[in-house]
Amino acid sequence: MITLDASGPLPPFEQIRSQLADQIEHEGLRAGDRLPTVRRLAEDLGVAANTVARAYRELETAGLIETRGRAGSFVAGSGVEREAREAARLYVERVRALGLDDRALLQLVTRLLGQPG
Amino acid sequence: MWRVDGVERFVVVAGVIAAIVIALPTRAGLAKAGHRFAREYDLWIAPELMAAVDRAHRRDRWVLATAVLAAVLLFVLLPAATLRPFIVVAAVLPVFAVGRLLLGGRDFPVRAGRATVARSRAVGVTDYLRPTVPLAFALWVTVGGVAAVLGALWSEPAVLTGGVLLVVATLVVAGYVVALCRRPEPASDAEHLYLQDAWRVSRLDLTLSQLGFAAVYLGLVAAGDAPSGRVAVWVGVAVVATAAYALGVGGRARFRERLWPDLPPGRLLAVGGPA
Repeated sequence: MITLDASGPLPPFEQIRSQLADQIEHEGLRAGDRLPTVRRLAEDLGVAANTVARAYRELETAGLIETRGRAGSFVAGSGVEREAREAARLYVERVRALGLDDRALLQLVTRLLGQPG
Repeated sequence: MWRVDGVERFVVVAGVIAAIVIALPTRAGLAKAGHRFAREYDLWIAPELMAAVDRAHRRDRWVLATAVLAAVLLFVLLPAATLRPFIVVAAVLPVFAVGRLLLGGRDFPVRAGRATVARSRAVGVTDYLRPTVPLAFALWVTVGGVAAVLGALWSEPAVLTGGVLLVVATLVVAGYVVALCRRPEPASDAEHLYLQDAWRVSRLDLTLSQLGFAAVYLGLVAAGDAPSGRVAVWVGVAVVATAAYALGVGGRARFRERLWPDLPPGRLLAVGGPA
């Protein structure tokens, strides 16, 4: 549930963004959940569509949601999934900086996965 | 100018009186309907919101009265035939659907200056209604299609018209269900949102039961008028229509389970009261 307080100190787009972000982080919304359309949420909350669109844009930039064309906006993943994705991104950046190509990078991971724990 | 016989005159007078009675309910009648709605959906509604529930019921009754008047007009205009009552019943369903769609989402507005709440995930038809509703729609279309084809094969134009009309009514009602579920539900708190969900489900369920009744009625009327060799076929059609009714209607528990999973079954919810 999103609660919008018109007399609150935060601007409406920030109230929407922060509450959605909080629900995604704490798995109130799960990976793959579809968010309401911009128009529907704007009409439900009584705000301009631009306000909701801005909140969605910022969540998308933060990697919390993804827009799949006409299908709508979806939660990109849970906190664990996002952390894992971020760790993978850092790994790729680091290994490339060391001058290794992508094949070597994958071989390293495959070899690690093949090792008994 | 068409001629109106005794039966038709009776139907017209009875229909107009019924429309007036429906459109102008008594205060006690409205209160009774409101209390029944609250009881069925486990609600306690504060007096100031009860007035809004009464208004919503009154508007819904205007839609019903309009549909009854349309039915009376259609009854007079159509030539006398066994299936005329069915055609009237099926043809007014789109009037219900369109009327209710026009009112949808505007019944319980948020008071100015109050906070607003909204769901953070998208909801669809099967969040409000039973998951078997799409199957029920498919069966209703099948019943109408079969009736139309058999009506054409057996040279029974009234059955053909009835079948086509049932298909059209089913498609219109399906469109109405999808469109109403997409309508916004502006709410000032969670309880207010629950009230709107409950009202939406009650209107959807009512329309689906009217469609279900029309489909069963078509099978029975066609069976009653058919030569003995074909009665079993129409009884079979009526049985399928009854199965569709059972699959499509009665989704009261569904929305609580899907949209309000934290509410234990039977827990009363208080709506309204001081801001």
